[in-house]
Amino acid sequence: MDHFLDYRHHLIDSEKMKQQSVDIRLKKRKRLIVGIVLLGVLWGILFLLSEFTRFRIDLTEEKRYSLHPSTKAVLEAIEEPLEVDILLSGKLPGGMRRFQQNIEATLETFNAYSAAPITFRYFDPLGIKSKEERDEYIIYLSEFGINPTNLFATENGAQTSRLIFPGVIIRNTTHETGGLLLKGNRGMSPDQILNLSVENLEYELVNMIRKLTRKEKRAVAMITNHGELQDDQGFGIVEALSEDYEVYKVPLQQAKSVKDLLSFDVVIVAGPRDAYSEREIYLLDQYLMRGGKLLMGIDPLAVDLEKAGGEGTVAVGFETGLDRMLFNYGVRINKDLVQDMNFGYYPVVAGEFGNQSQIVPLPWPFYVVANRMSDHVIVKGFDQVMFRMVSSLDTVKATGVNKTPLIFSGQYSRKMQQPVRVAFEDMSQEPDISLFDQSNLPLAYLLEGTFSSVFENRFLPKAFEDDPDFREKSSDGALIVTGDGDWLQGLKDPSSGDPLPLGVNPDSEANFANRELLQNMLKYLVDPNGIMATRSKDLKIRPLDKKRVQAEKSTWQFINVALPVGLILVIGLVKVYLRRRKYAKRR
Amino acid sequence: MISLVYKEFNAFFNHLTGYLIISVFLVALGLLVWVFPETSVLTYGFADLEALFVYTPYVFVFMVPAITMRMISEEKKSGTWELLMTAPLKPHQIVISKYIAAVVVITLAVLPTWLYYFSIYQLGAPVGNIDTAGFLGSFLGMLLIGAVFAAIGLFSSALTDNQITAFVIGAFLSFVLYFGFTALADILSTSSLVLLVEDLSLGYHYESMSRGVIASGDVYYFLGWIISLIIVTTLLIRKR
Repeated sequence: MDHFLDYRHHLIDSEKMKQQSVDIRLKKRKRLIVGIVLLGVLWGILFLLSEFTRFRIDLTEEKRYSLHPSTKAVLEAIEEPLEVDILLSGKLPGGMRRFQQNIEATLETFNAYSAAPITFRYFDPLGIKSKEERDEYIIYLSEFGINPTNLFATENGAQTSRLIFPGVIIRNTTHETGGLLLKGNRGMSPDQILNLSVENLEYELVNMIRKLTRKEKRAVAMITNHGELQDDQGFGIVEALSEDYEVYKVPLQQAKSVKDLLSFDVVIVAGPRDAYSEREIYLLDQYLMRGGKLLMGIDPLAVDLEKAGGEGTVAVGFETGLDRMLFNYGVRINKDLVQDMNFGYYPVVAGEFGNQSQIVPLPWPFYVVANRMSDHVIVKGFDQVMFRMVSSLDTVKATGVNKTPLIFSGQYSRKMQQPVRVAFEDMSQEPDISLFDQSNLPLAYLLEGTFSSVFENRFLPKAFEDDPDFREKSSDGALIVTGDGDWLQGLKDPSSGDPLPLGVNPDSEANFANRELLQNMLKYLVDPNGIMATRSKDLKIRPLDKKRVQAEKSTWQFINVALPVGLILVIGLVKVYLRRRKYAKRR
Repeated sequence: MISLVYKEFNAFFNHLTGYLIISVFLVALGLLVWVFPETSVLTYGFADLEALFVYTPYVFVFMVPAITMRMISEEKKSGTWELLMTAPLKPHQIVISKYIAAVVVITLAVLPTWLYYFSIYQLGAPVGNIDTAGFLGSFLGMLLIGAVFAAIGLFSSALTDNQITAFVIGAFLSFVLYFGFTALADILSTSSLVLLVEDLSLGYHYESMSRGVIASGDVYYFLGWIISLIIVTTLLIRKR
């Protein structure tokens, strides 16, 4: 009986426990569900918040991680994912590391704005195992202008040098492009080059991306039939622009009205020798008045260098009729030739040696190697540009027109007034620097603003006598003038006779930036507030005081390692002391 | 609640361990930012404390779990937990108080790194050539990543009643969430999963913050982690 009772008691107990454990399990399950719902709601809210309250605050002083609106526009139009190979990799010294980090940061910022993801990885071309493939790849890179840079560094007191490739390759599913990111002017210190390259990263990278994603080309007209570049001589322009533009040769005589020109984004006038008729000037003028963009390289004086041997020859002037037009717009091309102590060379046959003719590069101050650039985005940080027989420019009064000089001659230069004698003879000795008493003569001008027509208050040319579309003032045209047309013309390879791209110097390794200059000028003319404007970014260099760092290194190391810890320990001791006192009082 | 925060905060600083943890943290950072030639700003040569912000998470992975490890586990072990649970406080209030205390301790621990800023300020050429606003932005990012680690640490502490185990779990979780996903993304490099994995990685979201860019996506992501972990921790301790 007792036993039975006991048993029953036990039964109830276990029943109770069962009930309890079911309760707990139910509770647990309930809690789990509540938890999952809570988390779900939380992430839902956060998702909605992040969709509708998007913000991005760049706290850095120069807004170095913010993008120019035009860059954002390019990125927002990306349709497929982009992959970037950063070729600059491996162990790098401070400055290069900073550069590398900036490339990475820029790409990440791009990714934050782009419509499709942009990913990147590091890829070291020198890491390719097979020598053949490696060499092949390096040649492939050079097609994009990515040439290795020799990096010297001091490591543990020993000089080391190795090759780095400071560039990137960018690809989408179908195409691949790339470019060098470390760029600067020869006269710059490595620090300056690095800083400039960091500033230009956004521009360089977005330019490559735009190249990959661009759909249609713009049209550029090259005016012909006035002795402008002949046949091969136009190769340089076409080569430099073919990637971004369709270049058309346009004989102005055949243009019926200004409408025929308006389909072109830019009209190039490169070194004409013959006069433009009134009607042609009218067309160009009205093109500008309707918001057209002109790039004009004008040679007011010309020399036939074939005749420069012996006694030499005299530079003769051209009457193209365009100078009057330019004068009206606000710039005058002087009938002179600029000489610069920073000059190029002209190869002349000095004599025969056996059956080989000896070619000697003659110092030739008429070939101005200009490396003083203004801060304008078109030329900011540019490497040197070669002008061949360039005339100086002056501005004249033209209300409503902004005149920005772009390129200057060097510190030691001079103007040779007409008549200019040109003879190889004169150059047999290095020129005397004391004669070069002028400096920084402007060689290229950018004109923007409201132009007044050449035909304002004048009779219109016969063919357009009652042109109903005649305009006296321009809307938003722009004009770039250089005092030389030859910089737009490439040289020829002396052995094969093939035309070379602009700025390539057949006689030496050093090339000039003529090709890039042309590209930048057009980019700016076509879209002045576009990606060219991103080049205006100005980052501050914030170096440490190297001397002080060297002299006081250990002091600062000690201060910064020991002092914070000391501070914490002092706080601790004070606290212990206070506690002791509290205890003591209580007792 | 405030008194609980204060109690928790005091508990940390009444023990020698607290000072030890912070000292080790500061020495490690000091060496990384100022002494080791590979990472030092002095060899880097620019007035830019990037090293501080890049390496702090490495040190946080160990420091933050050490701060939080005993917050719940120790109370459970010593039995004071029952006392706390019977106090007129809701479980989530307890968790949040402890969490706030942890964040305050972390903030105090990193505050002395302001000395680095003043040192660089002095060493710049010219003196004072440092991007102050950028530094503040990066510092804010650093505090946020510390706050995420604190949530992870507190969660680990609730999982076990052994504080050593809590530390190990906390450090491991922080490490995986911060570095693990990034490493995984590197391995996957070409697969389409990369973006997803990268998005999960704390390190990925911290990167632009460490440079002084405060972006909504990153902030919400961090807040998401913090609040989620507090919810989960609350549910965990209610079990008892």
